[in-house]
Amino acid sequence: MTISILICDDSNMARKQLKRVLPQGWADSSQLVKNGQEALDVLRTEKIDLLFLDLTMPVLDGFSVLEIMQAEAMGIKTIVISADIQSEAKKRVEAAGALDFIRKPVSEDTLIEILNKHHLL
Amino acid sequence: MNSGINFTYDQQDYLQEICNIGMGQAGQSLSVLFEQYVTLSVPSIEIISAKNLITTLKRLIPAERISAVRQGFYTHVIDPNICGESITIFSNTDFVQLAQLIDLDEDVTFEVEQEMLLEISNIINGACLSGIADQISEHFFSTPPSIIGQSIIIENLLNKEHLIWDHALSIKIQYSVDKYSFQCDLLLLMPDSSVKFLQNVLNRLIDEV
Repeated sequence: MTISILICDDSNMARKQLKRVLPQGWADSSQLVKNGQEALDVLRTEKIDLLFLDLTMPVLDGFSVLEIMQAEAMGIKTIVISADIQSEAKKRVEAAGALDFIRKPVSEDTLIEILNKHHLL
Repeated sequence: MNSGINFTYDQQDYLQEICNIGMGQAGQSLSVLFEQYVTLSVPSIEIISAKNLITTLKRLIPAERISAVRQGFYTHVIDPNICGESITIFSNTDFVQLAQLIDLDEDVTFEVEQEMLLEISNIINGACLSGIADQISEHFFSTPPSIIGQSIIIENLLNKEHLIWDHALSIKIQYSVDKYSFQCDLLLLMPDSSVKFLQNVLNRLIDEV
């Protein structure tokens, strides 16, 4: 079964960089969006198994996406990938239902470790 | 003299993301200083020719009064790949609010204002430069920071004789803490050769991804 991935980041570089370190085969089944509103549009209409979410974005930021997902009980597994490395940010996203928090720039090793930790591999 | 340096969409996007990572580090350090969560805006970057610097700065920084701190940076003493001068510009700073946030239990004198400016600019500048350095596999050395002016008008920021650089990379940073919001801009002034070196590194990163 292929896993459907949504990558949400306003930076083209960050989107491509994450796509490059995804496990084999995942890149083909991943969609890319560039802000929180676009992510919600996809999440409301399509079946997404795993969301990679940036925090600092224009239009709608990652914190708001998490809150809306929680309010709408979407239950989508979410891993936050952000340059905002304040411990408060990590606490806030985990309280808002994210599985984990990865500091940017994301390395292949870290990503695999986190995916294993949450039995996503 | 300094025409013809333009950044492509990809180069700008990559540089912005690199600065964003640096800003994340700055936010982390500022949150330790303020003992509170610091909200940082998406940095917008712009490349300015030194010829138009003051005109462009007046557009980018509409504040009536600014305070500014300068610091030199370089990768190598001899033939540096990248060298330049960074200027952190604080807009309409309310030093009393700032002192409250840092929990300073003393009168906000001219000297106390200077200390706060130096401390905050050092954090922002250091985090941003180290973020950039890590991403482009370089290491920056810095000269100690010094104050250009406190609550001055922007025309007095740079005298002609200081303008030894060809280009400036301007990074707009907005950070807010609690109910207060602060605006500052980081300018990285660089010669053509450094900007070109940076572009080559960016191109390599773009090809890699």
